[in-house]
Amino acid sequence: MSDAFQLRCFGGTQSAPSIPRRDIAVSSVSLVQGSTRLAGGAGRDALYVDLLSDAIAHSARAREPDSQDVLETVESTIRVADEGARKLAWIDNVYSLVAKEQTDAATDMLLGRFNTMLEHAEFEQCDSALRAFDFKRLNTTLMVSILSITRPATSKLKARSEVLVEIERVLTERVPDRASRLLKNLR
Amino acid sequence: MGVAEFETEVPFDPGKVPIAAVLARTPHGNLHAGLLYRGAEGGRHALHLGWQDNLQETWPLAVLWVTPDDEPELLNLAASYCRLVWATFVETRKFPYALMDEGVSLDEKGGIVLADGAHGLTCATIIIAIFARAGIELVVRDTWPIRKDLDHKFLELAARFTASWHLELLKSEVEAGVKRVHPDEVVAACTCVLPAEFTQARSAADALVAKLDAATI
Repeated sequence: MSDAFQLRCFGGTQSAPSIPRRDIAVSSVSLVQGSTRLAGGAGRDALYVDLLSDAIAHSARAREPDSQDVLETVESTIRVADEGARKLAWIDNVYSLVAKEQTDAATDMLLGRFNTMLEHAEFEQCDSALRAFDFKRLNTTLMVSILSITRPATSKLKARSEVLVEIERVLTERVPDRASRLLKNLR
Repeated sequence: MGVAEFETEVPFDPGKVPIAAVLARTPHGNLHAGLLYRGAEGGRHALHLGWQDNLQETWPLAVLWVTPDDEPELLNLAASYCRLVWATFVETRKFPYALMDEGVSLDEKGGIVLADGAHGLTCATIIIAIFARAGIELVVRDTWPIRKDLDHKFLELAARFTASWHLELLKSEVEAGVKRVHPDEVVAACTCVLPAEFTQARSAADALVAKLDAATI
């Protein structure tokens, strides 16, 4: 997204001077690609997507009232992004359980969600979930759980190798003396 | 290394320890292994494979229990897999019992996946499989020997109660030669430096069984 576009959307201003058609198109593509990343804080980002939708629609109507095709494209994009956010809303519940130190319940939820996706061969959805996690909001049990549950599907999950690197980095920071032992059989 | 405790002396406390391997001698005189673990509500649960499609969640026998010396996060995860395996079994009521376990794995739902000629798990190898799924390697499987004389004695016991088709399957596995891990060996492995090789586990198992029998006689 262009800086100007981001500024307007995140600021939620309703009086944006203009959004060039090209920026809207670029932003739409970015939004689709980034929809699952946005869902990292899924509850918050579902709201964000709604606000974004309003902001874009308002600006498009104000400045380019005849560009119905652009508006429809944007709205369609928002719907896709919103759907992505809703599918990953459970990640917020995991964060919440971790924050309440209910690690067993968080682990069971995580295993259950990944089970469902893997059982139905929803590998892209699984990749989206893996990329959406904010590992700073997980404890070490949840991090090793992610690696364990996805390990049998390593060859089918494009995001797992990226996540492994990230988890290894976080574990090395948090528990430097135990990180290698934790990951020994989960790579 | 994990330390073996009698439950009568040091009760398994799921508030402190998420999972333990357990060993008992049954009223039939044979050894039987399983797991105690922390349930979703925090209570004490058991998981042990009695026989074909006979996974159980209660454990009425006096036991020795031991938690392998590994990272708490991985032990927590192993307990989660126990909950998952049981939940799946409640739905399917299927869990194959067989000696050829090499190639067996647990899928995402905690169901059993058979590959490479594997037929199922035993009360001992389900423990290995659950810990392995959580990233804890209990034994160096390749170091286990084929012990046909002991396997034939096992078949004599099995012949008393198992279905004929199942007995034939077990016989064929024994004839093919199977590196069977005995119940006491897998529990004893938890008292060893992991992963345990056969000689270490067997030696520890002898000590464990002597302790068990001395207490229950």
